[in-house]
Amino acid sequence: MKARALLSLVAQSLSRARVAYVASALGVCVGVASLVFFIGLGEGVRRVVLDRVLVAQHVEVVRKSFDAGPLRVDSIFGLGATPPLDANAVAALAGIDGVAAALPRARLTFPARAAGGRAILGQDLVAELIADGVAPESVAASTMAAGVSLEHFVDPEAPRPCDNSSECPGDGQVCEAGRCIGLRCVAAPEDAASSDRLKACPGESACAVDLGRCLRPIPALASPHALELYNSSLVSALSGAGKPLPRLTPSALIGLQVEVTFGEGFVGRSSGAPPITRRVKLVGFADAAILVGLTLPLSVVQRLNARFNGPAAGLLLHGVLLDVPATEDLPRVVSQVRGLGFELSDRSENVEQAGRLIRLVTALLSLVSGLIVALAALGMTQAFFVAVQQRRRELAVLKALGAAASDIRAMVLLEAAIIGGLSGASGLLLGRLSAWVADVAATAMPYFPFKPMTFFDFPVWIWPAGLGFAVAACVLGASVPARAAARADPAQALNA
Amino acid sequence: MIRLRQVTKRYGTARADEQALVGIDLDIVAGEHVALLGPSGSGKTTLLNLIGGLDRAYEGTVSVNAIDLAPLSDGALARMRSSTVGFVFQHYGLLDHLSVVDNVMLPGAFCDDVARTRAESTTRAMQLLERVGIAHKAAALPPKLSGGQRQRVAVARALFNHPKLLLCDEPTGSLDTNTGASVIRLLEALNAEGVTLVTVTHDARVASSARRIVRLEDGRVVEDAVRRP
Ligand SMILES: Nc1ncnc2c1ncn2[C@@H]1O[C@H](COP(=O)(O)OP(=O)(O)O)[C@@H](O)[C@H]1O
Ligand SMILES: [Mg+2]
Repeated sequence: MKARALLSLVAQSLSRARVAYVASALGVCVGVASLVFFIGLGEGVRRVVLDRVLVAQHVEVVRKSFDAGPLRVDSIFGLGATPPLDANAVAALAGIDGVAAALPRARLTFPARAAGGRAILGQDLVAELIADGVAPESVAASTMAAGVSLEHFVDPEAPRPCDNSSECPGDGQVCEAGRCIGLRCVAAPEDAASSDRLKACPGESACAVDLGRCLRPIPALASPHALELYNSSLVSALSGAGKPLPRLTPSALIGLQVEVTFGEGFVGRSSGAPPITRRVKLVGFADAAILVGLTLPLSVVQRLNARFNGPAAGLLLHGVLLDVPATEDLPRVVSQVRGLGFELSDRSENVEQAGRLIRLVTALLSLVSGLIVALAALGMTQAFFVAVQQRRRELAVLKALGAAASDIRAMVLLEAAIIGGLSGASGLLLGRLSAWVADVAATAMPYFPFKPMTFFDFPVWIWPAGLGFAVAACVLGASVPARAAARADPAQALNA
Repeated sequence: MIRLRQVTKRYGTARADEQALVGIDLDIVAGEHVALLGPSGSGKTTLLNLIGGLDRAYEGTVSVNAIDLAPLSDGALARMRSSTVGFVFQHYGLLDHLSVVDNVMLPGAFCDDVARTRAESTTRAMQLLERVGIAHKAAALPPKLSGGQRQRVAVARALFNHPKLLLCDEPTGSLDTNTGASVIRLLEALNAEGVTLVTVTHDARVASSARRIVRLEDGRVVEDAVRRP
């Protein structure tokens, strides 16, 4: 049969019989629309949860521990002792294929307390300080670093070679014996106001009494997510009691300084060494920062840990963040990490589970959408049986005029394919439109942390796949009626 | 041109006494005009469908143009119908949603040899409509036409692929005397041009225009006579 003639015959017969197929076509359209909607939603939510909330490409490695009831210990009676998480371990982890960077992390192993905040809150607050330390490279690798320039995130006590004082970073630093060092200072009287004591040194630097030298403030990073959390829920929750708390922006907070006493906090005082006081300055917000608390340069934390808990404590790391840019490398990287004798932090375990859960829910919803399309295809079978029956005489005439059984079948299947293509295409459009409407509706919802611009992420394959699925379902649905039409005896139809 | 040998046709599981055709032997030469007569239910339509290759369930041999139809595949049989046979039905068999000219072009869809392009098809269809005297209705839909006009469209359509054999099943059965007469003249003219004509009819005038008369009764040939002019 000539292709052009086939097409025009089918088009003519379709334009006459539109109404008969509307119900099934509508079903295919709705099914494809919900398929697109749910797959897009699943991908979008997965992206938000894994990439932004859980930062899936950052796998956190910790030392293996044994779950002995409420206690987690590193070994049981010396059995199954696990390798220490130290510089060697970092090197080994960095060597795993697929790992772009291995970023060590250490916690404070002694109490500390921070005082300050008058500039923003109107009065000084004193609070227990939660802090950890990361290498500056971690900040470079982390996303969303706002206003952070790496030159601000350096240990102020790190040795800095110089020939003359003009090469030193200012704030009263001078070149002495080839090193930059702060001016000498003496402790102000204990009864003087804290602001007066800090004034004893030029610029932002403050007197480190234990060293007898002026020191630039220790830089600190905070989590942008903590800020989101504060602005979205804590502000309203805490404001109820007294006067309202202000909303905070990163730029208002950067530059804020607090005075931190290391070695003494509300929970106790370190027995290893007398406490020391340092000035700490917030220099930026970065994903790499601890969610609650402040993140300092790693060398600062390690030096302080050594001071209060001995040299071994100074070498100890509490976690290593692996940067795995390609998420498809994750399973292999994870198994190699386990092979080295380490395990993943609870957070990284959660990433694996959350990814699986979202995939599962998406698959279930897609299955339901697929069922809608399948039911619509069954309706299509019904509609085509009726149509073929009604057109029995007409098809018999076509056979008398020279149509073969295969021509009749091709006509019916092409009709089905066109209906499938049209309803599938409108389904894709409807699905995409619903997603857009859902996103617009979501803008009316109150802000919550990690709230994305869009909840949808449509992989490119969804468009051809959705269309192909609709066409295939309709052609499959029409295949039985098409065969019946092809087999029908023309002599009988003409005699009737 | 047509040769039937011991052709027997049963519908479904009918018993022997309900056979539609019983042991038919028949030869029709190219260029003949044969009138098939007989009472209703005698098997005329059944015979026509067998000759035209529309019905494959029979016993005996049917050959057209010296080709036995029985072993042909469905596709080969369809090509034989498309290239050799034209059908004209009592109830016209036009597709009501297609215009007159589109109806006439239909056989071209199934035949690769005639009118390859749409322009060629339209030209040929218009020539045929001219020939049957109904070109002015080319754009109309069949339900708008009278019975005689519709049957002329059907004849034009049957001629589209240049068939050597025209099978007409009561072509004037639905027409009044006058319009019937014009269709008869049309068929006579075609026969004069060499088209073999087999016409089932109750119409005495159709019968009188045919040189040969075959009469069926209860599925058997009871008379086969050639009239002297
Ligand atoms: N599709 C059919 N199924 C069963 N019997 C049929 C069918 N078509 C025709 N017959 C029977 O076959 C016989 C011949 O029918 P037909 O060829 O239509 O006769 P005519 O055309 O001479 O009126 C009749 O007895 C009729 O009842
Ligand atoms: Mg009949």
